[in-house]
Amino acid sequence: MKPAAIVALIAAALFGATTASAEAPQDIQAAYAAQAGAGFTASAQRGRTLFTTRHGVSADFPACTQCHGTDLAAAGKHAITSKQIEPMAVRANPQRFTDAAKTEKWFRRNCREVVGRECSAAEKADVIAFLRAGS
Amino acid sequence: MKTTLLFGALLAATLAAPAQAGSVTLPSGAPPVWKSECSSCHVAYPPQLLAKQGWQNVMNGLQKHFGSDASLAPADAKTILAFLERNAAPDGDRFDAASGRITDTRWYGRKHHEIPSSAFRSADVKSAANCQACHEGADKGRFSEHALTAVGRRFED
Ligand code: HEC
Ligand code: HEC
Ligand code: HEC
Repeated sequence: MKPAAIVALIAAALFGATTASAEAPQDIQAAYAAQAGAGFTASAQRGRTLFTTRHGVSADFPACTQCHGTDLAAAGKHAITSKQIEPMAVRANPQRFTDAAKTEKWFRRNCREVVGRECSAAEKADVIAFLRAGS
Repeated sequence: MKTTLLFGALLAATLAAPAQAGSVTLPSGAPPVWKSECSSCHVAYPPQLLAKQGWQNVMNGLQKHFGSDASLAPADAKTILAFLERNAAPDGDRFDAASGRITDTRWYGRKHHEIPSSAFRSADVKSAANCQACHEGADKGRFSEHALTAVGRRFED
């Protein structure tokens, strides 16, 4: 990908309002990876660890899987409201990671709640790599 | 032309009238950002079920939103609040709840007075705000007593 496109993606992720746009999961991952710095390579294994670890910051949602479930190809369920949440795995849900602004917004909210802080660009790239696995 | 307009206005007024027996509808012209934002964690609660002050309190506290982080870009929050205020219930005590909970309004209590509070805590409901556990069309703003889920029908009178 051209550097200009990467910059545009990062800008969209950071500053974008909620506009629907057609982006590709691998591009959104690449934008976070670029932000993480030279020499960084995303790891699905590290992404799995972040996603499945019980961080224990929130009693209601100790882990990401509390709402998204452990079978990532199946729908999850919001831990408080019981509302169904569409599958997180890209192979099961082609809508995943197709709107950089949306992705950035939910990383911000969910990392704060579950991990107790915002996730780094590296962690976000790892999680996307994990959720893209098998697609 | 004039009559059509007048008729249209009357019709709109009737449709917008808050919640007589099951006549809750989602207002037309809702901004897309309200639909996508305010229905991502739960059903989109119809604006006419809460008075203005309640909505203002909800929108001023999105960072700590009933135990969740629902914070938004300021421009989106502004668009949503304007829509909620435009369609809010009239002031008066039926739809007032400083907590920002529709389930704390007197209106809600009256519509659900036959339902024991233990039912709202049961495993298949969990919360009075979980409208879709009992109302089949809650995600489309339909709450008629004739469109209850199997769980909801247990509490019919
Ligand atoms: C309290 C419930 C809850 C928890 C816990 C939770 N999420 Fe989410 N998450 C949601 C909801 C609701 C959405 C938005 C609905 C949707 O996209 O289907 C969402 C969406 C997302 C998205 C957007 C995906 C996309 O298509 O762009 C990402 C990324 C995400 N979550 C990551 C995480 C991570 C990482 C964690 C743990 C640190 C986590 N979530 C924990 C409820 C939760
Ligand atoms: C535990 C189940 C349950 C939950 C949760 C619930 N309701 Fe109801 N609701 C009912 C039942 C049962 C009735 C019918 C009562 C009767 O028979 O008079 C009803 C009636 C209503 C009516 C009047 C319908 C009519 O035709 O007169 C409205 C409007 C309504 N509910 C809205 C809501 C909203 C909004 C929520 C969520 C904030 C909600 N309800 C949550 C069970 C529930
Ligand atoms: C990140 C998830 C999330 C988002 C986004 C969100 N909410 Fe909520 N909301 C919740 C949770 C969790 C509750 C508590 C539900 C319960 O007690 O059962 C709640 C409850 C509510 C209630 C009170 C329900 C009642 O009567 O008890 C209102 C009103 C409400 N939300 C409005 C909104 C509006 C308006 C928006 C859009 C600006 C929004 N919500 C976006 C998670 C969210």
